[in-house]
Amino acid sequence: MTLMTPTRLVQLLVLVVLLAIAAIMHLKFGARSLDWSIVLKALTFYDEGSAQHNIVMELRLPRLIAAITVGAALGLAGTLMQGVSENPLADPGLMGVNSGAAFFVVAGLLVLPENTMAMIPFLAFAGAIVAATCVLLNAGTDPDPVRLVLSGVVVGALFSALTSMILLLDQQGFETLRRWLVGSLAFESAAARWQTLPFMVFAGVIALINIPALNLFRLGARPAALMGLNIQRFRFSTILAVVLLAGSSVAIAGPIGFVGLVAPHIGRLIFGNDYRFLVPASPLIGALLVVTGDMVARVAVRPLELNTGIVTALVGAPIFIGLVLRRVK
Amino acid sequence: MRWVRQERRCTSVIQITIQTLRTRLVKGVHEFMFSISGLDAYRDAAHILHDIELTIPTGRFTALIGPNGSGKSTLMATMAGMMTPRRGSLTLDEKPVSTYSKRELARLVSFLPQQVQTPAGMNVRELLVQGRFPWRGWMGGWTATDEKAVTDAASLCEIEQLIDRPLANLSGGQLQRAWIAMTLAQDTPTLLLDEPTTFLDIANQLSLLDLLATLRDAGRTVVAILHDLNQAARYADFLVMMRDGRIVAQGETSDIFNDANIEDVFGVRSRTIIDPATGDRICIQSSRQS
Repeated sequence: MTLMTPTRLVQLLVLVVLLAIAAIMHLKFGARSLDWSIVLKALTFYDEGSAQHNIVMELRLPRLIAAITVGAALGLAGTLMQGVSENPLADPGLMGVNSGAAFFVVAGLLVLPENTMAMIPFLAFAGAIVAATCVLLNAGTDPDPVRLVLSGVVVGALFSALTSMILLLDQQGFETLRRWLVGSLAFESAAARWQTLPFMVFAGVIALINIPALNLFRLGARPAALMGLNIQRFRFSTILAVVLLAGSSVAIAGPIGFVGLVAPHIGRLIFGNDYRFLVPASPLIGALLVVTGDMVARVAVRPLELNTGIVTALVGAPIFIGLVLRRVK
Repeated sequence: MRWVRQERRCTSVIQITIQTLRTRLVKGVHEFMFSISGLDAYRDAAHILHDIELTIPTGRFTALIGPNGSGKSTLMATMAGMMTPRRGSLTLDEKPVSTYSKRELARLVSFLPQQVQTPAGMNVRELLVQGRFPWRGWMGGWTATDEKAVTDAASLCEIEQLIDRPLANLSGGQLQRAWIAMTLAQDTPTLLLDEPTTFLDIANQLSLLDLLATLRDAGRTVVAILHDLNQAARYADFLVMMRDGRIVAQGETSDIFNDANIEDVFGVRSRTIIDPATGDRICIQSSRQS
């Protein structure tokens, strides 16, 4: 069993190259298109005096990094979620993790006195953890994944309702948080990126360690237990990773939908269902999706910009329907 | 072609025998692989197993027989550590099963349950690879031993030609062979199989039972739930007869495979005759009315 056949390696490299191309285009296009030469020069010989260099390095590059991070986190979170729930349609949204994180951020910012934007990551993590705990307590130790998925849907709906309630009561707050709630990279901050980085790295390590278990778990929970897998520990660690990844991405860009669902499935189309390839590939694909989506969001209605979350939803929803129809057939 | 395969099967068996003997030399061998005493088990509120006293001899082929709902599957699941008994003791290699870690247990006992759903989008090789899970390190490194266990298991079950086929494209018999190959790749001294011959045609049933006998000859302990009484009598060295969650009879096949026990366990009348060609016992059943 060789880990990397040449074909697989080439496929992974193609993804990396595509991501690099998308990244450079992300730097070039925007409210104002820049020349290729300026983008390249700003990247290699940065001149602080030049306004165009400033656009590239101070405005677009941080946003590009945020897009890559968020996309990678969502792609990996979706893959882990699908593996652990034995449900190919699972994503962090389905588990209520995104809604929980969003609710805590909204409630924290609007209700807590003396709040600052710097609190967002912690609120998001707290929300993601609370939502995941509710889901896990509901699902109990039942090996049947249906209960896990159902309790995820219920908890997600509950937190969305609570968020709507707060926002309807507080019109002024709704105006400020409106854009954030549909998922946007326009408000990303260096602080949020640095605060969430260690958590995302930790989650990545958990994902790598769990690759053999994720593959074994494709047999189902009972056969996996027979092979000596500690189901409880596997579920806990994987869901912890999902919570950290989803919480981080919500903290940076708000709840961006569908990437967690679509990225693993594009990965499955290319690499099959082997998690040795899906775990490295899905973050690449997720990053590619969000970088491209964010570029479209900024270019489509120039000089205004759409929300990244809207673009990913517009592209993701038809793909989701396609996936469901293919399964029903 | 046929004898080439047979020969390969023999070499694999010899290699496995050497492995098994080596582990035995290191560990010492006990007469009974499993010892069960005063065991009661429940599924939710239902009391399934009553006061089970049972010993499974090491290195032999034991068949569990009994009518539907007699508790055979529950007993096997309990032996595999999938269910916790309410009362009583259950030891494997003279150590209580509950004291083994899941991984240790999976290195000693492999269990093929009756209903296993076919995982989506997996090929035969990927399935066999999962059988090595209990032996792999924390990052899942793949060693030459792992590779050899998978190839040996595939050749024993004669599925080398199917190794790259998706599981969804296999016939029922091939799929069953693939699952058994996975439990063989697990390379455990003890195999538990819940109705392995169900869904197989007669030729495949016999070749599977031959394979189990081969594994027994190679030193493994085989325990299987079988429905066909004559197959059980012919292949098993040791029989365990169950009814209503209790053990009615256990012992050497030649001692307990008789009309009285069969009538007691299954509630059917029978005549046992000796096959003039092989000397095996054959049982002919008739319903109570006739």
